[in-house]
Parts: sequence; structure tokens; C-alpha cells
Amino acid sequence: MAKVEQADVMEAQVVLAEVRLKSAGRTGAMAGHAAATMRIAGDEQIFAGHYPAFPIFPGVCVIECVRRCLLAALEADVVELVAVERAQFLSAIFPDDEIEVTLDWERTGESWSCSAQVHTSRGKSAVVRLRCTVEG
Amino acid sequence: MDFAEIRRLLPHRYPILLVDRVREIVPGERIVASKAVTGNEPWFAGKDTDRPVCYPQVLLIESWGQSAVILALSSNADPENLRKQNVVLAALSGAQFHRPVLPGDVVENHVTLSHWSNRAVIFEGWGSVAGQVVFEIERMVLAFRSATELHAS
Repeated sequence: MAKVEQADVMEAQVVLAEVRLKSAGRTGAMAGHAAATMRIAGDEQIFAGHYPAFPIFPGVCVIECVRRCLLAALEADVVELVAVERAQFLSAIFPDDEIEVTLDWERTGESWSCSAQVHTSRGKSAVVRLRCTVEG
Repeated sequence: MDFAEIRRLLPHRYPILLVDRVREIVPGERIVASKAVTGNEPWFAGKDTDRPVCYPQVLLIESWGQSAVILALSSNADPENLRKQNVVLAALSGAQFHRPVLPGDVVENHVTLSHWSNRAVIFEGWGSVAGQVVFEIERMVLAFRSATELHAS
């Protein structure tokens, strides 16, 4: 099983894969864009139960990956979901896939909106739009 | 429906079998199913801060979705045939989180089946703790697909 490396984890760890930021920057005073990759290793804890005979990465974990990428892009301590406004899952993610997440975020008052696309080597896997609160 | 029966029905296993008990079910219509949250969940491994340990919100969606799967399988004329397929989340919209869920809380998932088309089922509802709504889901679409279809998509 992949290890939790940080001695002092701020957040619950549903997906153990690390976020590798490729780029992150502002596109306006209250807006930004980022691109990141995550390698969904075959020993992610979730695959043991989803499903034992057919390991497939759960859709909710794709949403979690987007949240984690936003956390990394903003260098925040905590990103909490206020809403999943829309999520569409177009093709499956399997053990040892590398996913590429591109996200655009915008701050609107107290909350942040984030639109993301998730790709694997086989093409577009998911489109996700979140609303979050950000600390740190 | 107790945990043993849930385990027979759902393909999910530890660490992501997130329904403990079915409290009410009306096949074809609705289900109320519960998940007890503890401080000893695998997701909290290594977490060592003074912040409150909130249950991951995406797992609230997952637990609610698994309650929906129980409802779908209990509503179908040929559940054994349906169980040969893999159930996947196809779409979700209007999921809103109103308050954090903490260890010691028992989440009640209230799910209504709103539409069944071919091999996709649409649900709506909410989750509550001690009678207070903690999240709402406007629309979830679950699809039943063969392994071949999922590999080809």
C-alpha cells in the first residue's frame, strides 16, 4: 500500500497519489489556471474494495483528485467542498493510469469556483465543476 | 437489511463499503440507509493535527451512491443479471454540503429513484445527521456497464 509520507497530515487521505504540479499561475486578480498530473498506482487503498474482481477508480475519487490539485495549485492548507456543481464521467480510470488535471479557478466572494478536465492517455475522462472554501 | 445482506448485494468491499444498515426501503421508490462514521477510518491514518477530523465529503457522496445502488438492485426484476455488470458513477450535479460530518455521527442517506432508463438510473435526495440535513444531491446518474464496455470507453 502506498505510504502516507507526511508526519503531520492536515487532511483525510482518500487518494494517496501525489499531485505533481506542472504549471500554476494567475490569469487575473482573482483567477488562475493550473495543470497537474497524478499517477494512480495499482496499490491505491481504494482498489482493494472497488472492486475486488474489477479494480476501477471511483468517480468520487476523481472529484477528490481535482480538489487535491486545487489545494496544491493554491498552496493552501485546507480546501473544503461547498458544492459539486457538476461532474460528468466519460471514460474509466484503471490502476497505474496517469491522469492529467487542468483546472481554472476563480474567487467569488467567500468561495472559490473551480472547473477541471481530467484526461488519461485514452482521452478525456471527466469534467468537474466545484465550489470550495480555501484556508491558508 | 443488515450489514451481511448489504455485503451480499453490493460489490464494494473494505475500505470502501460505506453502508452499514438499510432502515427503510420501498423498491422502485426510495431507501433510507445509514453509515456510522468513526474516528478510526483508514482515511485518517497519519492525521495528527488539532483540527476537527471531518469525514471526507466525497465519501458522503459515495455512501449515498451505494445506498442508491442497493435501491436499484432491489428495484430490478432481474437483480442477478444486473449484479454481473459493474455499477459506475456517470454524472452528478447539484451536490451541496451544509455542515461537516464528524466521528460519532450516523449519516442517514435518503435516496429517491427518479428515473430508470435502459441501464442508467437517476436519483435525488439528501443526507442527514440526527435529523438535520448535512448535504443534498439534486441528481446522480449511475450506470451499469460490462467490463468490456468500460475498457472500450
